[in-house]
Amino acid sequence: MKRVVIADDSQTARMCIRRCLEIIGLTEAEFVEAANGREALAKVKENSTDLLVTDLNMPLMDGAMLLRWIRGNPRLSQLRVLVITSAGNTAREAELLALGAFAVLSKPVSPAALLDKLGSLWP
Amino acid sequence: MAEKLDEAMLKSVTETLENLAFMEVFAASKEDPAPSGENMSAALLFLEPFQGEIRSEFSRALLEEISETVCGLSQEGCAESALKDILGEILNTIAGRFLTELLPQTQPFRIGLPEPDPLPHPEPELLRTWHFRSDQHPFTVQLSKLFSFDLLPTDKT
Repeated sequence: MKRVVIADDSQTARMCIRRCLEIIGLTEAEFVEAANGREALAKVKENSTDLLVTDLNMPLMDGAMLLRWIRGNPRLSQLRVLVITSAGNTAREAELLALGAFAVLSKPVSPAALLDKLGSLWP
Repeated sequence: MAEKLDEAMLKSVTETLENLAFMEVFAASKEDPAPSGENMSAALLFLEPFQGEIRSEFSRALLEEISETVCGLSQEGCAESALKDILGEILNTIAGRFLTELLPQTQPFRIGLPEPDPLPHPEPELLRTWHFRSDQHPFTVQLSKLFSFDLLPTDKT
């Protein structure tokens, strides 16, 4: 079973992301939710995780800082991180990809956009 | 410039509600009826490259409809906190889309976190109010005076 951690300070956003992931076929995955980057970091450390989907703009620890912590931890360096943000443009996307994000998506997220980014991972 | 702002705002609001809640949005005028009944509002700051504030006011009835679509919660099951969270997420998405529309793709920007129930806005600071309607429910989005037209690039590249 795949393990997916979803980090966003909005419960609504977490539900939307989860629903979109289920629509594109991740119905059997274990979904773990986190309300900020700090919580998300704890969740990905506690168990082997296949995918982290994180918002950029969060309290306590934002998505960019979370990404830095993950890339700095040899145990987590292979974790795929998908960043979803409302403040996304070409400049921000390049910055996040350089930090080690697997992909960057703009809000509002759609199943089609997720499939486009994740389709190659789990055919 | 005002026309550009209007276009960007309409596109941002439309895309946000269509994608998030599968709801159609129409521009309305200030002569249309204001949100009636119990209303909820949220505000969010623009931090970089300029400072400003965006806020929105939705009726509770509209938020309950959105909640039903997005979260599958019945209207009776909608806690106050869930409705505030939905409004915050809507405003957050609108704000991001709006700046993406206005600024060049190479210009990074930063926005704050949505704040539920902000203090009432002193009328003279308001720069612009947009009126919308979705499923017969009116709602508004406002920009504050902190937001300066002069700081925006004249052409989006």
